[in-house]
Amino acid sequence: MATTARETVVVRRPYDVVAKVATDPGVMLPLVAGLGRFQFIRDAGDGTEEWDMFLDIGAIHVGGRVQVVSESSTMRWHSLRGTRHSMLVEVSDHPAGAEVSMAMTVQLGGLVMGRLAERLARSIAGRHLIAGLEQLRHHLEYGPTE
Amino acid sequence: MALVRLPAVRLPALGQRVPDGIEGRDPEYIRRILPRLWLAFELYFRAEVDGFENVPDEPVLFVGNHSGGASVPDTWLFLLAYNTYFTVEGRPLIGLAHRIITDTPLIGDLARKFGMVKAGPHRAREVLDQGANVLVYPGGDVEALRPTRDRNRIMFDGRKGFLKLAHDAGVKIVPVVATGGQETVYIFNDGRKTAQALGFDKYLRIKSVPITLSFPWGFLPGGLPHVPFPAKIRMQVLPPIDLQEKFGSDPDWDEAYDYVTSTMQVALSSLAARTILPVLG
Repeated sequence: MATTARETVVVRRPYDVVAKVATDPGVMLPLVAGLGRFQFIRDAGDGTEEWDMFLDIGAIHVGGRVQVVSESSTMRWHSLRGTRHSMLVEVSDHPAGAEVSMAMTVQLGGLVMGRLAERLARSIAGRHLIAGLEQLRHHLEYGPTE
Repeated sequence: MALVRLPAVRLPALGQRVPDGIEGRDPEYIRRILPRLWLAFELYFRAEVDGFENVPDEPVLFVGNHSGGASVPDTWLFLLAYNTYFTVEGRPLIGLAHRIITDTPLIGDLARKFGMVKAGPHRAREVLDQGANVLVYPGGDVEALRPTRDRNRIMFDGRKGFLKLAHDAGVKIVPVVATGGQETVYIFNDGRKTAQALGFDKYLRIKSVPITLSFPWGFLPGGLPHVPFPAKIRMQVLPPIDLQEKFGSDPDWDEAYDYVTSTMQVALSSLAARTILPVLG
């Protein structure tokens, strides 16, 4: 079973500027994982990078090692170990500047409990995505948060 | 043991109300009821308030987002937490409240004793000049009665008076964000158009009349003081913002408004991300 949380934010900065930052894992992952922990592991040499990224959710840690692929207007990653999930960050043009959308898909095992857990995971992931997007927006519009 | 005894409100003689101002604040009364309120808020709301170490030792303007319709439990929680952190004898905190709170018998008197005064820019300046800290909720009833789906949104409705107040008085803004309060009442829609259609905004200064679900009223158009549903309330006090330093002597108020609300939105969204299950926390 898989469930996807998707959130968007409008950033009042030129598309090019937003795309450059939003597809840079060195900026984006710390923002998304700002409530948990993150660590750069290695440059795989094939245009991808490996990172450890975890969200702290109560007593458990959701995440693991991810492989990140960056392109001009998108960044995506998928899990190599840990919680099975994938993420897609997309930047598109918007009359006010640029729109950034983030979609996180989480896969959990089980039938009834699995479905319940996925439902919970979707709303938890959604709130984390909103927090990450708001941090990104503020970072681009006003500089790093104090 | 008197731990579960309700706070005793000693009402003035008939027709005589607690003064509306810093002189109405009753430190001894606050001291007396703090332990009981603390217990009630800990048990009922599992309250958490962090970040008071960010508050400088000078008069400041606390700017918050508040929730929960007319009962605004996060406002009470902040007053409670402030008075325990800085002590009752410390710099007094005066909160600006909508007249629907301050004019309500019993609740209004309780609020005044606790340091609430009827909202108004001149009152706030007067209190700041007296050396007190002031707590404002620029969003007013529009924010407190925003739809439940927007519970984690800063909604100041474009009101910038608080910025001019802080700038003119030469005091820093200390933002305060809170989550959970909007889960103590259910609000189904944005009631601003209804308030306009009924003329409530002109004649009663009530800007929002949404459909709400609360105890004991059930479904109701608008918000009356009610018994909040239990929920987990978290609050975070943020580092101060010096408008004079950041925006100079002649600020662009739109720019300052966007900056303050953006800073608060980031903190509110991060606080909301700590929620695992709404209501339970």
